Amino acid sequence: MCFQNLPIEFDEQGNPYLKGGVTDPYAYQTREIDRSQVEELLKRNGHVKEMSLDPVTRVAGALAFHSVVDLEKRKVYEANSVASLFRGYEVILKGRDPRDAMFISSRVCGVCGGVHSVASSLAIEMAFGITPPPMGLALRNIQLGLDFCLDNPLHLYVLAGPDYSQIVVERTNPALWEKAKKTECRYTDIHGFKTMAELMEAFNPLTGKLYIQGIHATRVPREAYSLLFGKYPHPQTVVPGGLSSTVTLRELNETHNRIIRTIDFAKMGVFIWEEITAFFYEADPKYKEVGTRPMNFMDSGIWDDPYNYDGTYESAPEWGERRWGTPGIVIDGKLVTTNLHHINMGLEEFVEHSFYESWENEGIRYETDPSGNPISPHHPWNKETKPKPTQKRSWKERYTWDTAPRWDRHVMEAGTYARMWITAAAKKLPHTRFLESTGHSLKMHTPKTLLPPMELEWKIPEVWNAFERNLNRAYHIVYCQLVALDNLYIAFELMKQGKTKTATPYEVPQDERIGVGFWGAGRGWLTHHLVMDKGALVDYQIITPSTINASPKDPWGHGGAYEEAVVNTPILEEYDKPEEFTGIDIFRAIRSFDPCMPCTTHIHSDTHVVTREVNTCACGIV
Amino acid sequence: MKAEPVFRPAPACRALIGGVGYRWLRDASFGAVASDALAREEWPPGVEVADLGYGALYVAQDLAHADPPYTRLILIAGVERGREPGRIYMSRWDEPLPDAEEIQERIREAGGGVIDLDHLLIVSRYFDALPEEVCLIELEPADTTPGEALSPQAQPLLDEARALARSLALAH
Repeated sequence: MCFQNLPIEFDEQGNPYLKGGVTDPYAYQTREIDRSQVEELLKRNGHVKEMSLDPVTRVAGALAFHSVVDLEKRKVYEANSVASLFRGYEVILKGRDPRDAMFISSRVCGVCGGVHSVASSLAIEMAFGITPPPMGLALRNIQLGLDFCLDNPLHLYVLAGPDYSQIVVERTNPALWEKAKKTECRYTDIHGFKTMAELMEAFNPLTGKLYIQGIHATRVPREAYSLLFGKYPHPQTVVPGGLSSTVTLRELNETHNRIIRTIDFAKMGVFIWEEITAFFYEADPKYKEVGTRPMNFMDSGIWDDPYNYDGTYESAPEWGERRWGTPGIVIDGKLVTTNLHHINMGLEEFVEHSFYESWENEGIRYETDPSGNPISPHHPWNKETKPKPTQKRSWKERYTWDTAPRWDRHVMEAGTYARMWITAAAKKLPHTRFLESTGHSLKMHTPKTLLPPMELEWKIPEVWNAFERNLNRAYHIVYCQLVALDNLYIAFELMKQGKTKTATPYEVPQDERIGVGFWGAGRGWLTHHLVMDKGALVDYQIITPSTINASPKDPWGHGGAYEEAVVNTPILEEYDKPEEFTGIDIFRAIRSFDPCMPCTTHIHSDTHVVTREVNTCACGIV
Repeated sequence: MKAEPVFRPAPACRALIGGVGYRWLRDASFGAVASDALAREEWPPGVEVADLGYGALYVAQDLAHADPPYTRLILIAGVERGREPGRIYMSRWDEPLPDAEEIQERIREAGGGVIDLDHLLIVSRYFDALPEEVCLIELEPADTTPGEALSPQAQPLLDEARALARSLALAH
């Protein structure tokens, strides 16, 4: 029984059905948000402050954050995550030829366009009833492994890294900086830094060695990405049915060369982030609470087995579990399912605290998925995107352009760690050339490069917080490189067998079809759900990792993952006067999610489009 | 008969013409539209045309790694700078770098996927990736609403921008 809240039960054969005797099985009562205590505290106590971070800097895109902080008790009372721009792609795609979708939806993100192209192609392939050939699948896997080798270092060293730099730590926690000067590093032989202070200096923006190396580390994977996808970040060759590019031994050899060249920096990164995590935990165990929240994770899986994939919805549970990234759901640290049907069935999106209208009163399109499993009126296949800008942002009512996706009505979190956690816990990973899922860890056997071969092991952590998120991301880069390398060897083998076909031809069906692309971004979960009829898209719904993580409160008043993480964060910063408070602990908590909001960077109003971050809520310009 | 290989010396001047900006935003996409058109033209050795709307950090990396290095960079973009709209403005870019905080912020934005001509110039200069000569051909946009077509004011200026880019690229 993976569902605790939705009225779904399973028969003896494991087939799900809606619990009998319930008139309106998906109905719910909304809970009003009560801010009276917080408002009272704000009124009565000078040390309780409203803190508006607008925009939150060093994240990708337009994110603002509101919180109420007690500077005396060092506690956060309230947190509200605000996606300050409207993501209009779901509206833009409606009515278009489905073959436009992968090119248009790629523009959702200026960082990871390729993942959207692939998710879109997968949804179209399911709707069209076509499957890419093995070479096409292997090449997609290689490129979308390499994409994350560009994306994750940028976050670790340019966006989040400065939070752990000398410049920041010396200012916000002078005692910690003094300790860093006296603390010897554990892995000097690998990364070369003698003390923690030296390592923190390397995180300094613009001048720090790791900051600069992090930027340079993005070039080689981008080159490899462009070899097969045509260009970065918006690929030209990802099409329904596979890839439109041809491949020769030369492209594969050039890709191999580039994967090998990226591995050393990734290996070293693991030890850098192990040092940071251990140092902060040791300095003050309360750092384990920075950004903590329940261990609830969701991941739709990624990297299809080129030899065991048919792209149909019916077979999704089987091909899903053959992926290099096992799909799954973790609730309170326990893996509850790896079945893509269950994952899809439990998915709902709510808009009670978002600038959207609901859609249920227009009738529900589907009561079941194509396999006859029940789905909610709030499921993406039933959802309509109906923007409803309001003139005033209210923390009790509506405050964001993000929606509240939930699984089985639980607040969930997406990320590289969800992908690795589920893959490690499920112990179903069938690809063991470089990787091994142990049930409690993921072992990565890295080849010899300039550094010796290593067996790196990411263990499912006992605590969950900002440090573990960043540490996992460092391991995730190695994981992605090994997935890419494994798939490259498969591509070499396919080439040896003369199986070089990269795409399957198709015709656009004219009847009603539905499809879903279960894929993943550099930040985790990514799904594209589509409905098409008469050769055009009727509905298109995108759920990105940041849709999940940055979500506002749901109908029951439960905050999204950022909001939970910030409310649980203790204020450990050193300050004597309120004006010295920088909010670094809150920033560390938020940035550890690697917020990616570029999907919100195009806002439509009647008169113009804003193409970059704005400092006010989008409703201000409508 | 086997042809003798022809070895051409690297041209003394290597010029890159690049369009900068998002697509599908009418005049704000002027750079991308212009570079698409220029890429279809015939060019002598030593002149290349590219869509540079892929992020300042990555453009800077590619400029820095160009071998042989570019000697001239001609950038075309639709940029709102409060000038009379619907006109082309040409200039040589030789601005000093802003303070470190602004550079860091521009790197951060570029890494986050924002496409911006000034990010490209400043980030590239910071990483010492710009050629000696940098010329800008800017359109002050008349219309930046979503859409594929340029505004009626901007459309006729496309040929002017192409001609300017050609003359700058081929000038000695």
